[in-house]
Amino acid sequence: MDAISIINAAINGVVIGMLLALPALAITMVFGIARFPNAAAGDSMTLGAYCAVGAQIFISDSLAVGVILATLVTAIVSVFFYGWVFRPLALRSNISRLIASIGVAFVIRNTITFFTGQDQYNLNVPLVRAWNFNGIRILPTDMYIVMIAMVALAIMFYILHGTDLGRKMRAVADNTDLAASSGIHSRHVMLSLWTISGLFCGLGGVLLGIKAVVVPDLGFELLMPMFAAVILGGIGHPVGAVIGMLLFSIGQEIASLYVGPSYKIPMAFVILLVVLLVRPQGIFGRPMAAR
Amino acid sequence: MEAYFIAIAIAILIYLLLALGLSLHYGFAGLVNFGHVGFFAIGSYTSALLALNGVPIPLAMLAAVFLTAVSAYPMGIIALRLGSDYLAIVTLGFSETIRYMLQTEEWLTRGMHGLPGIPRMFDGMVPSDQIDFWILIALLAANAVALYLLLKVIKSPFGRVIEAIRDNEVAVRALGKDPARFKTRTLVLGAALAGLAGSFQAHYLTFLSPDQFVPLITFYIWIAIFIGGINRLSGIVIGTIILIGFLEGSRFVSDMVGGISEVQMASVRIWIIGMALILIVLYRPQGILTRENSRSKAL
Amino acid sequence: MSMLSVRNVRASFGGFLALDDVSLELKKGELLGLIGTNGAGKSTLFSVITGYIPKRAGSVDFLGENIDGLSVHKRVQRGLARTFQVPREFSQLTVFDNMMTAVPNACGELLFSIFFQAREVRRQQAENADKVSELLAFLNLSRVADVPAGKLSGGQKKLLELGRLLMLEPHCILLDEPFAGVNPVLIQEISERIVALNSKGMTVLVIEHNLDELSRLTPRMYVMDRGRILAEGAPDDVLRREEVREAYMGGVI
Repeated sequence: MDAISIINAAINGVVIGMLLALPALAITMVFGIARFPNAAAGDSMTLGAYCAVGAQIFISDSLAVGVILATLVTAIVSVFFYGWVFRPLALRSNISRLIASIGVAFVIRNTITFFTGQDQYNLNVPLVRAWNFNGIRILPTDMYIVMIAMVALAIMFYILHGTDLGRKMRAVADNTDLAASSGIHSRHVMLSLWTISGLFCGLGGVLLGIKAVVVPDLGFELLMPMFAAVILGGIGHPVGAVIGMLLFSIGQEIASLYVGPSYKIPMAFVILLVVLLVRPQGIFGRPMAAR
Repeated sequence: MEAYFIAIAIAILIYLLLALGLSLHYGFAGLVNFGHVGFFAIGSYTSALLALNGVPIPLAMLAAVFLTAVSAYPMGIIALRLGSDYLAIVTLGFSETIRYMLQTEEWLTRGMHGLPGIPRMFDGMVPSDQIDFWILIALLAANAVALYLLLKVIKSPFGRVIEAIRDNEVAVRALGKDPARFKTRTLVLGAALAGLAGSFQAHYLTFLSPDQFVPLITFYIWIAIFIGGINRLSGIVIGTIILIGFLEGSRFVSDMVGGISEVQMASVRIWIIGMALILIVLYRPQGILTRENSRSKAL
Repeated sequence: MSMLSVRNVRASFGGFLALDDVSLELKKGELLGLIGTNGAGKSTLFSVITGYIPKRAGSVDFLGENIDGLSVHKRVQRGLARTFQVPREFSQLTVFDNMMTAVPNACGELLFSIFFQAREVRRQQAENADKVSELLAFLNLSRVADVPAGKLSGGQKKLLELGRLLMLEPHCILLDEPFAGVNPVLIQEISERIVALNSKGMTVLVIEHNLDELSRLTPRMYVMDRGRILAEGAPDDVLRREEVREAYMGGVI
């Protein structure tokens, strides 16, 4: 493989990594605060993507409308499931919330497919030519994706570091004392958490839908890579999730030059194992056993 | 008509072997295994590939069970140093990685084209219209043996240590016993049962494809053991029957109810499974067919 | 001869230095006490010795051999056993089953034996059951043999933990506050059992808060304060010393 291909792959990795960083951020915050890996995050992304498709078909061609509708829907759905399912389970084991989130994932996905079937859809994106710098290709749409993702991340980091709410969230997410926090936190923190989680998963889904074909398994397939990235970065660490996702995506895009595109699954699995065995707290976490 | 009921019974008995294995993992030892279908897949493909290469079916099945059990061993060593939610993620990754490999290693598995022409159990030994009946008998025997062995294990000193581990793992260590050893062996035993189920599947269906081994199957089994009361063996039998009854029955519904297509019914089916998972965890985590205050530690 | 040799151990726990250059010698057949104020590091020392917590410096030798790299259960297999400050009984199992679980290397713990050596498994179980009954009698717990361990009183749970320990036939036992939360009658019983065991040759190291009980029980003791060993010797001597009295002046004994 020549350098150009690798650079192009790396660029693609950055784009995908940035847009996946949004749901990854949601996953790490939920993992850190509500103390369970949210298996419904993937299908929330799928929901966002399909909402955007639906918006284009039924409402307006404008992607902006699609984004607004999608994120609104996913945020509402996310808060709904928090109120109905995850809040009552706050005092129970992490596993109970995990299993319930699997159920939520199935419910979301199959509500969608009841109406849309198993066909694939596409988001209509204005066709633009890629910029070409001596073989290095950059798609303008990719630039928009990265910019939107960065704005979202910037807003998120402002919330986390510049507001009281954010400070509280960070403190709780960072607290490795499992006895002190079992998912019972102020209503304000939890509602904000799940609203943000829904928003970011939905937005990530729309952005992904711009790049990839929209299919029912869109989000669920990305669960393992996102979990791997989150654990790599350190659970409850927003910066870690973003960096972990970027590293993973870049690595995966480059690897796919050699081994094939859906290599992300075994790659995620191996990274997961290695991190959990060698440095369970990930890059940014404080030392703690993964038990 | 009779043929149809035999087919249902076979499905129930194959799933029962899977459910017994998962019940051993979770109901008995508290191991959260989200990758059970991975063991099912290893058992199926191993037996199929061996038989396709001339190995007599009984030997192929034995080898499949053995290989599946062995595959659980590194899973055990690695995964058992992790807490429950990490174990769940890792086991899910395991079964998805297996499925990925089944899809991509076409030189071995023919990938998404599937593996046809797998030698059928009892082929040539009995009249071909009686084969399914004899497979049913073989499965009944297999399940009976499995149940018997499980009961022995549960009531043995091994079983008592497992109970103790669930009760107070630190204290078990303080008695000079390594909990990981016991958990790994439980994992291996449950995986062996899944491997046996897989080998039956291969030589009954005579066709395998990676699509048959999606995570959904793992969660079907979880529902079955939840219905049954997680670690009540009699309940698990009933739970499996109810599960298959639901899956089969839902096929009729789409035929009878005009407006819903086959594809939509599939969505409804899985939607109900998802709801069942949510509702069971919310309201009946100790399982459905148990007494109210069951001894097993509820979720 | 030395049973346990702890040398210059340093350990951190929860971010601060819990053990600072701690050394301790336990001789074979001895009945040794370890006392200290709250947070002095006694339980931390136990946890380092038994392998639950890693140390930053120093060494721990057991029966003349270094055990620093060994996991918890391996140390127990070598004959070094401990009880816990808050009893860790198997609450859902009966007292009898609690004891039976402690049997080391029961062949019934091997899947192969369960499937193919059923008679041997049964025979061993019967043998162990006899041993358990004996020990339960020694501990005065026979009456509650079939009661789920979770329903026992605090003192009974401590006796049960002791019983489980003894099933292991260890070389040396470390008792972590055996009298804490126990009513005076049972304290007496536990004390008597400890003395009886020691007179038969068992090496015992006891942590206690309860100064009176410990002074009566152990002919030699170490005093710890804020992660360091303050003093060592016979109870009367040690409790007369300046540094010890100072440490306890504001502290709770």
